[in-house]
Amino acid sequence: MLQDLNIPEVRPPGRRILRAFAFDPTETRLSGRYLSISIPFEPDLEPGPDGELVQVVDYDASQRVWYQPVDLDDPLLLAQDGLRPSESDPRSHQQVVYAVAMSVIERFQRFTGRRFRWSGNERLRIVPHAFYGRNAYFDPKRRAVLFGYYRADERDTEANLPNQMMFTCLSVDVVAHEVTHAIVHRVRPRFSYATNPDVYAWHEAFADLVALFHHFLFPEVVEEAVARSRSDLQKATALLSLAAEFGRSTGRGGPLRSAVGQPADAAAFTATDEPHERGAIFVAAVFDAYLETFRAQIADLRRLATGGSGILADGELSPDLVRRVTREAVSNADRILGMVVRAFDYLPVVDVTFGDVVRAVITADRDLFPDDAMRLRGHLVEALRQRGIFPPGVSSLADEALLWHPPVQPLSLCAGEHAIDLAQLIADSTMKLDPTGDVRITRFDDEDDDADDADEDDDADDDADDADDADDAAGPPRRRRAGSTIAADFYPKVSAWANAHAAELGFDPDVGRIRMIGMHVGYPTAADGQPRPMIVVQFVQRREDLEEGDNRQTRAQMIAGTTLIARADGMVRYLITKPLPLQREALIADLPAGVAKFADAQHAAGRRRYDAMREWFGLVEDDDALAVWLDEPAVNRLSFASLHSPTAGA
Amino acid sequence: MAVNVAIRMYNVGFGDSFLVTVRRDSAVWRMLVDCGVHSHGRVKVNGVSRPIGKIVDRIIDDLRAEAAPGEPPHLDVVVATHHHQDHISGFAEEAWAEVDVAEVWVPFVEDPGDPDAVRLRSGLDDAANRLRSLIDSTSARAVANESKDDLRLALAFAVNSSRNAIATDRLLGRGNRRFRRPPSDVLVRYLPDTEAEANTIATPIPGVTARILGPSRDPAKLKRMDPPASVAWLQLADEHRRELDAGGPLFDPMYHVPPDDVSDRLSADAIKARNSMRLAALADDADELLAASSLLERSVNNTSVFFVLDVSGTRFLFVGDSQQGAWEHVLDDQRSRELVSGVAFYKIGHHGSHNATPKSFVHEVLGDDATAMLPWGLVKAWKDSIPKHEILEALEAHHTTVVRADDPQSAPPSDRAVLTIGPDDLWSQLEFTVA
Repeated sequence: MLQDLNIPEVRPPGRRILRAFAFDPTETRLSGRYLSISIPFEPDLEPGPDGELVQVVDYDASQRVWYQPVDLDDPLLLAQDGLRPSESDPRSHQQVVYAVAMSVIERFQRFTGRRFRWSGNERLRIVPHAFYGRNAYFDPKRRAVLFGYYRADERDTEANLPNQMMFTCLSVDVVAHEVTHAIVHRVRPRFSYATNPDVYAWHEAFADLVALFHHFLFPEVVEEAVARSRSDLQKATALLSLAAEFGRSTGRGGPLRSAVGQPADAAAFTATDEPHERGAIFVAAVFDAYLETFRAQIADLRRLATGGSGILADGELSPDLVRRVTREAVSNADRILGMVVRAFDYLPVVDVTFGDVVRAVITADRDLFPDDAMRLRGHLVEALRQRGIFPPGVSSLADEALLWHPPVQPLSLCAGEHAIDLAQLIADSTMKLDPTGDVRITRFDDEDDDADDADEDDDADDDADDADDADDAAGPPRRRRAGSTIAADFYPKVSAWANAHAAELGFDPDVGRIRMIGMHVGYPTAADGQPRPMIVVQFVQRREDLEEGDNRQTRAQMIAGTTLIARADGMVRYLITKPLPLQREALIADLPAGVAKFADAQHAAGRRRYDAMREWFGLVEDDDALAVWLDEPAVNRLSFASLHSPTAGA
Repeated sequence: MAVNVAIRMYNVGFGDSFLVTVRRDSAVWRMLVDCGVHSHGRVKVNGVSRPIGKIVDRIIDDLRAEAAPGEPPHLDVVVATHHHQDHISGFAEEAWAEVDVAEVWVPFVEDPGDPDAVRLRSGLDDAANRLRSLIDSTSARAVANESKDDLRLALAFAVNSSRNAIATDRLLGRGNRRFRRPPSDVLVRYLPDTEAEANTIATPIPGVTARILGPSRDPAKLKRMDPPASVAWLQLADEHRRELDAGGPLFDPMYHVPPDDVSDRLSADAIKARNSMRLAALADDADELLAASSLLERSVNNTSVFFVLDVSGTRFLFVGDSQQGAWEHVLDDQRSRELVSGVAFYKIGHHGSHNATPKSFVHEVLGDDATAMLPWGLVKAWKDSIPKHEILEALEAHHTTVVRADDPQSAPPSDRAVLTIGPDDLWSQLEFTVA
């Protein structure tokens, strides 16, 4: 017994390697290749797999049957990188969705400089065989990603056999895309409500972007493509061909394939309202920037390899060159994708447009990399411009013209009426950053949706808001975990501060409570290698006075929102507002001069935004054949399910 | 010489039936616009649904009373605006065989001699039939509770578009169905005609013409009349699903967790997650079926004959159930727009629903002090959505006298027309005198 205690402990591994198709069963059959996906090793992974962030629930509603859950901690599976993926073994499907979901989440986490948690510390459910059907989608109400399976027919040219069963959950692209929708919903829950055509287009674009760049996460895949490209290295055909593979077997890549790598047409973007097409144009622009930067990055390697001539000889590339070029391609993908992911904190709370995305990308990147030494930002702005994507009304595409605005007069979370002491929040966030700390044991919950919980307690009579939040954040039924009161403590303080500074934040001081729906501290790393702590707060104000219809639960909501970005000392650096018109314009006259000017501009912008939303709701209504029969506004019927449905618009 | 125009709206329930009588001295011209009721929208009299036959008998009695002694009841024109049950189901009644009808006007999609029309029409029929059988087969399986309402509504749409064969046969004089005179003596007009001048149809009464403004024959606009493309896909899915149900499982049964072992082999957490997601609703395509059925409903509505009866410049507007798209075709055309401007009477489109009376029409085109009739009966499922109160409010804001089929007494008085209400509330009538 005693001697047992003296045996040195074996430390658990840091990573778990799991196999998946590369990037779907059809391609794997042609290439014989599997992906090895490396994800963090979860020590207490239950069969399912059922982990800390993701719960795979393999119940098939069409067949009304449970499939045997895979136990990835089975020593036999640990010894062989999980099951060998097979279409006929549902357990390997569970493994694929788990592995891809975890790798997408980990990558996102790496870019944002903070721990990723789902709202309320709940897990995302993944149902790999949810139903018979040619669809897969993120369902916010069920807090789940649902995958369908279907029998191929003669139209499925990608299928190997007619009548072959196709599993959407086996496509790495589809899984990455859908999980990204869930992540976007986590950080901007209000983007699941389409208040303009760009809102869903942005959801789509970002999900595609992450899924597309996921192909560049696997050096062995990139290496093979680079080696194949031989002397065409400069044209980057290898990377283009990797992108072209995207979504091939699922048909999801359709609009993308027609945009990515194609010559830019600035008119195409303004000409379409269709979310997939607009999204695809954005993705294509980001990919242009990626290629442009990549070419610049490998210029020195080419010179070295060609003795300065720049002309590569025909035949195989040197394996050393292939490896170095691959490394550039992979890290460049991280740089470009990271630039877009970091922009999330700088996005408005509601009603996002691609113009806002451009501003957010620029502002976020400039804060960290003021000199843009690698010209990443320059390439991206130029690529977006060439495809017609820039904020309306800007007179220049210089950084300064595209940055978000600071408050008109100094504003601090830690000063003035209802000043907040941020120390506790910052300490808490810092502790959570420690990757060896066990957040489940310390039960420091993530902030955002606990704020909603606090709201529920705080204002029980506001039933419509709460019902709505439950929908947005968690879905039924809501399981509360005991734990941190940090957020609950902060919610009333920050809300009180916001209500005291309504006009300065772009809200109407007269009508509707201002609610905090998210607050976090992030530590992105800047060009000098130092972290830049930042505090991001999301506020909303529902304006029932501007809504139409009798049923306040179901009518189209009018929400004003402001994202506030502050330094760790509480000084507000940016206000990203989506205002609505003031109910009483006369109140502007009573405000201090600086604030009055701001409020006046917000009022005018609010009026434009209100009119635009009304017009958009009308268009959605006109387009919906069910609008005639149902009382609920048609915009409430827009969902990711209908967005992804093969019969959409048919 | 004054012309008298009487528009009598029969209280069929959720459906349309209008008898238009134009008199000048001894000359009389009669037109019936539609005769049908929705299967869920019949009028309840003492708790019993009134069949459409009762209304048909009443219409024929009214015609007979007007006919010269020894002459059969007569209609100069029967218009069947579109082939929905709530507009044509009444023509299935055999009593029509005794009525002398000189002309029948139907939308061009009914034209058996026009290959494009045949394709469109058979596509619509086909979609209706397939949807019905899909909804039946879906309902026959175990269906999630939350899907039931969707399926009921979807079925209502599919039924409305199908099984109107007898009525259609009579209108077109096919099979053994006919009006009194031999079908070869009945002039059937498929409207609008491809010849522009044929869309202004004169009547025997001087100064009285019908102007046909829709439906559009423009291929770009026809899209709104196309049958939903998703039907074929849904049908395929249904077949595959049934094959799977019958022909063995998706995966080898060794991968299944036997029902008795579920609580042993799955964690309580997993079962809880499954239950809270209410996955059962995913197993049926209820929402997709509903979407397809509602598209079909709209497609058929948009085939409606859209016309103005012009009595020496005083105009009476009949739009069938034209929805957005069909209206655009009219309002975007300058001449058509003028013809529907400032009309004396408007037959409110599609029972007062959203999308069937554009706001811009009420606010910018219709003008003030018009009269309007709302053919409406209660269908429980739609009591909150139809009629759309915004439309009635907009009409009221322009001082429109709106006569409701279910409650004609509530109509405000009008300077332009005299309101009469028939016995047993079987009809209400607006009578205009045009100088």
